[in-house]
Amino acid sequence: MSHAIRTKKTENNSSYWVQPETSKRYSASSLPIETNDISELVDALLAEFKMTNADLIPGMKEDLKNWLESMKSTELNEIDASKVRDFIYEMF
Amino acid sequence: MKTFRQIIRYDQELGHTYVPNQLARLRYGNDGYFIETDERGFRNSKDEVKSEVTLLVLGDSFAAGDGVENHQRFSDRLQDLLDCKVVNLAVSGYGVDQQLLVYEKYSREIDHDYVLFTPHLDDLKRNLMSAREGIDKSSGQAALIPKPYFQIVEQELILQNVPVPMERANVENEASNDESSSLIHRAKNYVSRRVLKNQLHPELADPNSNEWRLMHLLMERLVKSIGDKKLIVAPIPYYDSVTYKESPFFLKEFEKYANSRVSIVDLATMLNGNHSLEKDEIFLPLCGHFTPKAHDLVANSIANKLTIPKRANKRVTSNTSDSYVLGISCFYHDSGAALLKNGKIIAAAQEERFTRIKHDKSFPGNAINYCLEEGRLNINQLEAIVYYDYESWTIERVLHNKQAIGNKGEALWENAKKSLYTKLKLPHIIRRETNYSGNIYKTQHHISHAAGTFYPSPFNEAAILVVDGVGEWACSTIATGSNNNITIEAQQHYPHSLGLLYSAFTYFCGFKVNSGEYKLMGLAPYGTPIYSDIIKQHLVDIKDDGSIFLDLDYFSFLEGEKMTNSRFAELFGGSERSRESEITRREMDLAASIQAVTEEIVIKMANHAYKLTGKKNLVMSGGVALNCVSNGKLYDTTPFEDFYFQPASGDAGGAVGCALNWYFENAENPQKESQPNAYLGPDFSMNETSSFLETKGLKYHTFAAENRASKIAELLNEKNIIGYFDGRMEFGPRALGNRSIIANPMDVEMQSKLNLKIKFRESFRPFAPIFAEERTEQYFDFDRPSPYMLVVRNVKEELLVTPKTDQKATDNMIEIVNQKRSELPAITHVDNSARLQSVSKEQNPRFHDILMKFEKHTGKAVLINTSFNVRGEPIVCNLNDAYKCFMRTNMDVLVLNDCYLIKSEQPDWQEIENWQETFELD
Repeated sequence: MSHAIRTKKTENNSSYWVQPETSKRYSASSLPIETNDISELVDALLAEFKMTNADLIPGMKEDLKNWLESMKSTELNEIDASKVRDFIYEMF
Repeated sequence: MKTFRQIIRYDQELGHTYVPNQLARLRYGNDGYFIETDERGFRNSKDEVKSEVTLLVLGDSFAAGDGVENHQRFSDRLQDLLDCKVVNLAVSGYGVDQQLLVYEKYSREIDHDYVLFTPHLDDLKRNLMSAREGIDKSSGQAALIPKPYFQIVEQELILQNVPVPMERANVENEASNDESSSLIHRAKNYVSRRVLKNQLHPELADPNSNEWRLMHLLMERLVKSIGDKKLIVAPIPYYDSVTYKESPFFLKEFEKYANSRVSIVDLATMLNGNHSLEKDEIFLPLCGHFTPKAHDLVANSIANKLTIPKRANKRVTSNTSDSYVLGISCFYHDSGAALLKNGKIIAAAQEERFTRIKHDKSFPGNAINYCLEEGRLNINQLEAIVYYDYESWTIERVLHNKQAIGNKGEALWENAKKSLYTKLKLPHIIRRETNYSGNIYKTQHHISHAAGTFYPSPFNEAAILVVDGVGEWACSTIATGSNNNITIEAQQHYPHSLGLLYSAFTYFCGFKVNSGEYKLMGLAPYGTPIYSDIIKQHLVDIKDDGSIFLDLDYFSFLEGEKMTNSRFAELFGGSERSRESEITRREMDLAASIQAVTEEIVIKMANHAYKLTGKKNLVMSGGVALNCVSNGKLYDTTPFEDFYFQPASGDAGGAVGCALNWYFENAENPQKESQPNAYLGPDFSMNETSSFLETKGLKYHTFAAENRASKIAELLNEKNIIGYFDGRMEFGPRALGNRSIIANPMDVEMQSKLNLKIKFRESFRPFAPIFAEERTEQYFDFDRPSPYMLVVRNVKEELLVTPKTDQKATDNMIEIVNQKRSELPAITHVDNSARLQSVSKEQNPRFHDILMKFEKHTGKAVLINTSFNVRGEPIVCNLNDAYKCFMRTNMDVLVLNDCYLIKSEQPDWQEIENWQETFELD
């Protein structure tokens, strides 16, 4: 299992910059993720993933499916947008 | 119906009218509508209609058109159907008494042939009242709004309450808004009519009731006033009368006036026939006023009664081919919206300014509404809405993060689920909150920052450096900007982030992450960078090209718990400082140390960007680009010839960038246009300003046009502290002279005074100078414009004086702050630096004029400029925010566009206890 978070340095690194993908279009339509069909939505998300190796896909697919199914369809209406916080910072 | 604007003004004869010459977009449910007013203060559009026949309309909110736009109202539809010019004199909340007074006031100056009188049945009840319940705009509380009214004395109408009193008594009940009170009203009537079988309005069924006695006298006076002109009376029934299809029992009372000059139109029977409870197309669901369809039906009914010829040619309405793109940022640090017209930024604002919640991250519905107002647009006229984040990549990053932290991953995932889901559903939320049905796009987070700084910059070729906490995967990005294209050259990925490293120290020093970084930077000059080597040995590996690797053994943010851990604390002699506790020498030295490390990294990154791109100019964005101390160092430590720092470098600015990137990727022939200034928010006309002041009954003075700047300079020279509110609000975190508190910088105690008595914030925090651009080299070690307060440089050596005591020898901050270090003591920081804002005549002519007049008094064209707010409060947006902040603090003078107010002349300020607690400390 190889996640893409680098937690440890490798020896003899001269730089930590990485080269980006070659695409020069940096905007995309939101249409693929506007679907209400969970399977389609999971596939749309996975299709956009860029750092995930094939060995991680089945586990992530399961995570995504369980997550989206656990979010009741009514929950979006209940979400008070003013309460939404980026999870990294919301504890502070 | 919500707006940040003043749309109603006090009128001593009529009670109130609309603010003259106003254009406002009112939020209404998940949509909005424009109201446009004329020079008299009535809802008439500016379109010139030529006709030999003129028809005046009298009425209340139904005729005024609450809930619909001017062109959708029956008055304007009549103008489309018939060859006539219509002047609508209806105003929301009017009784028949006020409609009569309007007619008597304006009928002589407006030549006319017909009068269309549209009393709502509720107006008969209003006629008996001396005040009407409404929501006071300033307080948001229910209040009784006084009005003129007539009393019957010996069968004569005697006008009362004129001049109409200004004081508004509070209503004891809890404030209610139109929407909920309307629903309650409907529910009560449903029970009354359906269950109890009651007559809905029994008092109106009795021709001898007080309501009808007064109404008849008012009618008689109106008929008499109209003279030989034609009068059409079209009474408007109650919503519930139509719902339950009551016969129009009231018509017989109006029909008493019918004759060759006066005709009556039965709208009730027509509306009853068209209304269906199952599909209500007659009344708007939120407020109960007419729908556009109902307005059409009413217009047709009335047109049939008029002998005016039909309009031969359909009136031409303007059809725009302009392209509009809306950018949105939300659910991160600061939400905002920006509007492009043909690629040019014409409006941008942060949501916090409207909601009054600092760093508000919520969906920017108010900012969007403002942008649409500025563009004179409705939402579905947009070519695209773009938001600034690939949510799929953020989700991917969190899933990887979950894997990376092993058994703590599940807890992290649980915590993240809800906020990620909201980000994922942003397109749905956009559609739900705005009624938008067009195309939605997304732009990568760092590209949004890159586009947001490159395209508005003055350069056609530039290296681009974006550095922030994290956006999707990216923490820093180097890109090339070339004419209409941006190309990413290199990136550093999460979690190896300079922004997160700086935030970790912000947190450890007891400041709030994502807002306290600025304080940490301001604290740094008090300290000595004794911890820099420890930071570099243990926390971050810095390569020559500026790339970094954090040692994650010292941080906790991967687990989503807090920024740092116990190992981090051990490095620096103990646990983190608790919020609001005393700042010690350790925090000063930590601030100095991380600031030095940050500068080293940014300089190395910039030099690497130069090597990678070969460009002579550098543009920067992302939260780290707000570190104006490191920005200032780049001028001396890199080979770049020139620089541009996006004034809204934080996340709100992403709204500009995502829209710009979409535009340059998709427009047929995109044109790059530099952003001339950061004044992209709302302004408030003199009509609105004077309406606000007069409605509140405040004592104010108006500047004579020729001596406005001189008078302000004189007040400043007398050491008055001025709240200065003028023109369009700034976009971005800095007040740049249009929403600023300004004062004389030559006063040595001004920094402490401003911090403690005006801003109610920490005494160590420095203030910035605002100065005439042409004087830059006289005051500072700098030779070019710095219009956005994003560069820190030293005060000119010739202006420096030696402090009496050694600041490093004391920890007493007040003592340090009050040391005179230069001839501009209040803007000279403890290291003799200053955060520069230059103002040119082109950029802000009115402020530039003040500076030059101040120079005549003092020999220096420089002032203190700090944002117009108190600690924890967003910068003021509208007139009411400014007045409230002025009265709550020890400011001496408030300038509102061309008016000014003196504190000592103002009425006593009633304030809730502990009002400061309404703002969360930053």
